[in-house]
Amino acid sequence: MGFSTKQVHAGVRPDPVSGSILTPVFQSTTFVQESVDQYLAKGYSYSRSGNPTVAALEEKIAVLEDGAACTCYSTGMAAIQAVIQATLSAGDHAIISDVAYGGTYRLCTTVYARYGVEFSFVDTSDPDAVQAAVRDNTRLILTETPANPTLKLTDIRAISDIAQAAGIVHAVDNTFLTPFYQRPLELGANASIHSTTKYFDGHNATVGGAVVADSDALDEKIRYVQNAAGVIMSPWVAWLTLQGTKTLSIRLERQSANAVTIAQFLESHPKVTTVRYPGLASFPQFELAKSQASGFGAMIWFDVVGGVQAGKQLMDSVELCTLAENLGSVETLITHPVTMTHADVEAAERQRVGITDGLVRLSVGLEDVDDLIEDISNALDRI
Amino acid sequence: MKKETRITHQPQVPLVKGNRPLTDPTYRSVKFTFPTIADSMTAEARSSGFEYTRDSNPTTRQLELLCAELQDRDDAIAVGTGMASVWLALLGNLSAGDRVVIFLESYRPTRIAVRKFLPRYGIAFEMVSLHDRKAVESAFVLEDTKAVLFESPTNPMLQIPDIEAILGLAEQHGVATILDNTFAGFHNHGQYAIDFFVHSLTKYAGGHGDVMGGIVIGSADKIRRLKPLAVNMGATLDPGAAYYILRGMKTYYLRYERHCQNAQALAEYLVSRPEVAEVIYPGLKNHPDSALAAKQMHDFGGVLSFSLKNADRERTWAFIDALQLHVTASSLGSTDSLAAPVQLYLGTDLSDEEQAEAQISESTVRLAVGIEHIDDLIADVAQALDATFS
Repeated sequence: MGFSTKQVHAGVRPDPVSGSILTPVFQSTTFVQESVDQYLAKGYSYSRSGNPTVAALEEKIAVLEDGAACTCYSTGMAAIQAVIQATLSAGDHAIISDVAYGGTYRLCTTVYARYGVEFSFVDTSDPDAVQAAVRDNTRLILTETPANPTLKLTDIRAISDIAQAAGIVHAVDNTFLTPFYQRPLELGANASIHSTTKYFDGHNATVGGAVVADSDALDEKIRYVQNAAGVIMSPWVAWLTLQGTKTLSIRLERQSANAVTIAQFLESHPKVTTVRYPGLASFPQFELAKSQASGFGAMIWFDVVGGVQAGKQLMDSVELCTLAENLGSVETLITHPVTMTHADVEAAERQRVGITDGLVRLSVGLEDVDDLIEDISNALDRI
Repeated sequence: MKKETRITHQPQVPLVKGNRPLTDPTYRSVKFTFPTIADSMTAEARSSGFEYTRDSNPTTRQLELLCAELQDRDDAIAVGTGMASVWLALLGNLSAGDRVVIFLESYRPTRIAVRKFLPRYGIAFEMVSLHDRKAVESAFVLEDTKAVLFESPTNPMLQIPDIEAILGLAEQHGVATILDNTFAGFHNHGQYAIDFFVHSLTKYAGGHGDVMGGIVIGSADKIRRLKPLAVNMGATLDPGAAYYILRGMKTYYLRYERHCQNAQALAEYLVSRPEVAEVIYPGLKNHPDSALAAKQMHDFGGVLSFSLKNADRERTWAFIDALQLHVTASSLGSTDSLAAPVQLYLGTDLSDEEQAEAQISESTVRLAVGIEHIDDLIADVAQALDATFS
């Protein structure tokens, strides 16, 4: 069955009571048991432990990723936190991509470090560096590809081979490409993580997260945390995300097509020094981008001549592109990491992970590409 | 602007100055924007502006401010479930090498969080009975004890800890105090110098059995210190859920009052029935700590527990199944009355000895009394007792 068929139909069956084609929003905290003896006979007891609307979304995402099962969360960070809590205890070690999302970095260094868990932040684009970082107590490798915001790629197959040989769980944050373009589990990873806030919802209407596991055993461990820590997705958010997911592939296709056009425009612009987009022949890991994913996504970064000041000026000059830190939605969003998302990160650390002063991140939306180019072009002219 | 662009940049509908909705809109938006970077960097924007819903959201903020005020504190952080609030309060007060004191008489998922998960992160625990004064004192004396988490009344057996005694020990030994105040509600216990209140908003706050949520409430500085942890853990409350809870809160006092009236009347009725061995409700004069409860609380909530005489597990389950209005389901604090077999739903992690000490037996039943007409509730319990013991 094709992806776009699955994204419409998987997980959703007509409601047995009314025939409603959409799964109802089961906005109920508790589920009545027919008798004490038949406790859980229908599968649900309390919405923290399981809810039919959330379960429909979990099934849909599991099918789209070709995984064993999926669990959904209140946010993407809660999804990452569930994977960490399920796999790591005091005395354990994890290898985390050195360009991981700032929230992931902070969760590791400010929360889990307090509980005796050790982390190495490694350039996971280099499999040898990952291999060298593996210790006897390594239990988790967490990668993010393409990375946010640098778009650096990690070879999922190569890292999965290292993980598998050492019996380590390899979890990939697949938020930027979604299963429509990239399926980490097929490349040997054990878990695929999503901030559903981004492309799955796609409309800037919800925050949420998901973890797809490659085995029931791993899913069970993660699901236990989902319930015990109570970091669940609400039924309304699940319902909105179910609806959003139905257009995932067509949105991503159009947003990616827009991104290609904009990347090419930027590459030819005199006020832009570097453009990074995995679909450009100039992209350093272009071959890997083509081989491990079936598309390039809708995230671009570029460097403007003039550093911090120029980046800031560009932000203030755009009109159609919205100045906001989210990504993956139908609205084109633009950010200047040095003054926004990474303002609190030390300059040396920013340089190390490739965030230059003039770096601008663009999450390309669904608008007409001519309007977007006109807006960016006008703003560049004002620098 | 082309129409393809217009559909994602939809027309603005400005409200005339002074024209505002009586019910504030639910802010579904994930992102909040400012016209320029400079606008987003002003002191006001940085202290009370909104950026990203995982960090903060106006609808959720409204709920936080409301709950904090009702609990007589300055600030609060709302999260997705009651258990997420328990986790936030625990992790906010504990690091590896620390110890937490909990009680045998507490909510099962809380015991599981502390006994099953915290040791994996180097956090020890001491689980003692509320009624074992010596053991409680010894637990506080331990050098590494940094926090205590307790409930009043406890779930499911409605025990009443002496809050002043716990606070005295905590102050003497420098231990942070966390009260799961779900049963008593926001209008109780605010007068005590408790560091953090946690509530399952799923219960009396939402009140209609249609939404889940949790909250940690405390002084402004304590909540400020907890905020980065909450943002990093991402256990955010959905703004849509926050709206349901805000709507539920509008009848909070009315509902809580009726829950209490109904529970008191049902408890008194149960005492009069020869099939019932013991009824535990803090509003009953025969509750061992009824005087303490009356001193600490304005009213006693909508949950009661009791055990049946001459009832094994089968007979107890038959009684619960015979109830018609009281449906068998987890949860409490909603408009609808619920019945739960205590041992099966809330005791399976305890050993036989621990269950005995916690007064949980196979014949124990917990009723979460709703706001239906009391005559109907009493009639329902009466017919189920008649049917089971005839």
